[in-house]
Amino acid sequence: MSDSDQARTSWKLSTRRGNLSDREGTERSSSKLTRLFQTISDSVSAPANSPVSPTAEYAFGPDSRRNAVLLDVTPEDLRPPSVAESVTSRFTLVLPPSPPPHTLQYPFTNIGAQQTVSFDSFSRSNKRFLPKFKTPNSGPARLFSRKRKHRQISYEFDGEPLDGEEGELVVVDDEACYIDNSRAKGMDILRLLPDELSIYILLFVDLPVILSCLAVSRHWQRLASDNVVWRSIFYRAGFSIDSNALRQAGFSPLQAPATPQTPTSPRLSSISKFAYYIPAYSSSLRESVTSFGTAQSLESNLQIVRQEPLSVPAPLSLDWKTVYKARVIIEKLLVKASPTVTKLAGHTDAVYCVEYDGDKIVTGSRDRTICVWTIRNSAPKLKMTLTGHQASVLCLQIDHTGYMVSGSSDWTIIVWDLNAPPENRIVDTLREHKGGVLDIKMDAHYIVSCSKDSCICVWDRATRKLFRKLVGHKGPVNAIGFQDDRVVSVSGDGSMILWDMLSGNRIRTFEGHERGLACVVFKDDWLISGSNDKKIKIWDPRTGECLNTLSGHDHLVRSLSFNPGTKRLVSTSYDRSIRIWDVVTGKCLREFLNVHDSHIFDVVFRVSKIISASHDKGVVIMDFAPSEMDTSLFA
Amino acid sequence: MTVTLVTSDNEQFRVEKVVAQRSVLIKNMLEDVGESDQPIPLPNVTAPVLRKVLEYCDHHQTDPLPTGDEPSADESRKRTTDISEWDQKFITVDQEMLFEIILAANYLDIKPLLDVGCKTVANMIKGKSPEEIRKLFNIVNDFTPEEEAQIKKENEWAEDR
Repeated sequence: MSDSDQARTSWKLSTRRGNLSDREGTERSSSKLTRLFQTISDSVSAPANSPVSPTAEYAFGPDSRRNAVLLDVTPEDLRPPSVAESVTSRFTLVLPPSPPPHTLQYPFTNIGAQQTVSFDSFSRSNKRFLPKFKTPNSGPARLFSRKRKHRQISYEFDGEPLDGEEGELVVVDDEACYIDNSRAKGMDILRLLPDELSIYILLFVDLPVILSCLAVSRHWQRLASDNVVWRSIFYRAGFSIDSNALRQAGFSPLQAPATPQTPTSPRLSSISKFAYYIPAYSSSLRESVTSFGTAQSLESNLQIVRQEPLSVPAPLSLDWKTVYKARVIIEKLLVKASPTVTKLAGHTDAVYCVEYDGDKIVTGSRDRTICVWTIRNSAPKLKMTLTGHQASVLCLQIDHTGYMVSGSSDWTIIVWDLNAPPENRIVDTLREHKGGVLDIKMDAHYIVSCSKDSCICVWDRATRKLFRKLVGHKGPVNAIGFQDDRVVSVSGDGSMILWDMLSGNRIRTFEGHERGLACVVFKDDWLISGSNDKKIKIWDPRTGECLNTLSGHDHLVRSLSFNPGTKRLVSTSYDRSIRIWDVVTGKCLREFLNVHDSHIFDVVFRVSKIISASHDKGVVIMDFAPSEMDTSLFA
Repeated sequence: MTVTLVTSDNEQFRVEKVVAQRSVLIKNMLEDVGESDQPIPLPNVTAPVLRKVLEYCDHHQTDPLPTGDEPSADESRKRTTDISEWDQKFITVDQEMLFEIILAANYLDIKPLLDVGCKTVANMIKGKSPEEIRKLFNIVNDFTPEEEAQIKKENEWAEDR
């Protein structure tokens, strides 16, 4: 080795030392790193403080001997049997370059049989060690510079077991050899980083990875068990929390209860088994994640904007692993279990429409009434029967504030307040359509209705004035879907149109169904339609392209209900069957025949329940979760 | 306009203010101090790491600064491990440098860089068995066989999704 090499080595070493001692005083005290660096810099300081010269006594003094071992890369691999077992491998990361071998003042001779013999004695303790030295001109040797590679090094070996000194010599030299080896570069990043950062990394991965992480080591298990990680897994799986249920149970969705309350009140008990996760550690992270801006403004926002899913993550006071587990089990039951079937008898004629928000089921019928049933945590009970329409109730929608809109073949739309006393429940009647109102949808700002008169009306929800009329279909508009400013409408004439609601312009039309269309859902990037051609088609709303066609029903596909999170679609048909589909694979997961005695007109699918309304005057609830299982938390 | 950054190993870097301000920490410091030629000490960052970090800041100097908003449930749903091509090349470093970049990005408060680093680690462990992860990061399995069996049993519900 040349002088310049030595100079470089010593420079590196002192640079290193500089780093290390600087770091001691830094703010990184919360991490294990500081401790680690401290340990190392302490141990390094002894030899490094002495002048670095070609004859520095690295390997001779008792201190330096300790260094050599402390700085070892992979002790299990390299350490000769005589080296104490107390050495660990965690010190890899701040490996200083080892002193050049010749400074160790060991006699060198040409490479020969001796070398092989000497290292053969190691091979008993570790096989991986062997090949790297048996073939010094191949494999890892390529990682070194040419100069280094051609340097002829060997060790005299007298055949006796290595004493400590010689063992350490080998360790020092091997350390150098391993520096560029990729295996030795492995460092336990998730252990060395502060917990907050390690957990943050785990927020980017899905369940299978988390399951692997749980089994890596105790430290990884602790990280991968963190509540924040499981909440992330829950949302990544596409699941949602019913903010309304949280609120009813006494949770603010925005803040964890300051002190865990004992779940004694009956209201609390319903989700108590998921609740009150007691943080084991990293409470600072927990707080930082749970406090979002001003709670009040968000709260009022939530009130108006959406009942579900929660637009901010639900609180960490829930035990998210348990929550997730329960939700996964429901998904499994949905494809495996035989459902509990409950029939709601109340209407005296065909039931055209059904809505369900987790709390109540609302049905509209040809008998001109609307029935409201309460269902949360109990057997369904008829709570009220609403009269107002002069003809069949064909469609309706509710939100959790008690606001409801319904459309009828009497050409009108009635706006209801379900929380008002009976005489004040009708808030307004909207008259514009010149035919039966076939479908109705609303969000926080608009109500959109479509009619047999082939028009679509957009109403301002606050003033209940007509905002815009979308004209273009040549036949009755059977169904609409709408989110943000986009409305999609399907007609019995076979056309399907995407509209810009604000400008009233047509964005595009969708071609593919062979007969008239009966139903449509438009959620997130999913646009799905059902038709009289017995098929369901999945469309790309951005291009108008048909992505998939689901065949199976034997008659007109009358209604659809879709969860964009879990990607599961429920369809009903005049063929009296209900089907569950996976829209990603296009596979029909289940088929339920003869749930009703006649055509099925409407269906709503939410978490573990499929509720259908039929021409046979009945409403059927299929629940796939066992009665003792609490599903009220989910949306 | 330039600012001077001083690393823990006393190396000085003169960088464009707009580049340095990718670091929210430095940005806030500059705002607090006002116009000043005072060098900014960065006691938690070494020169090789800062050089790398500044390379990132320089390339991304015109990106919009991220908002401090808490990610919504929807965002956590869409959180991906996609990394742009340039970033991918940039972050192809050894584990020690990756580790140092993550720490520096966290300390300097450069969220997009922190994300690149964390995504990279996430991508490294994706699709790996516990044994493969141990090998990758040189981790010693400190579970007893009984504990391993217990873990396996506890996670049975999650298999076969």
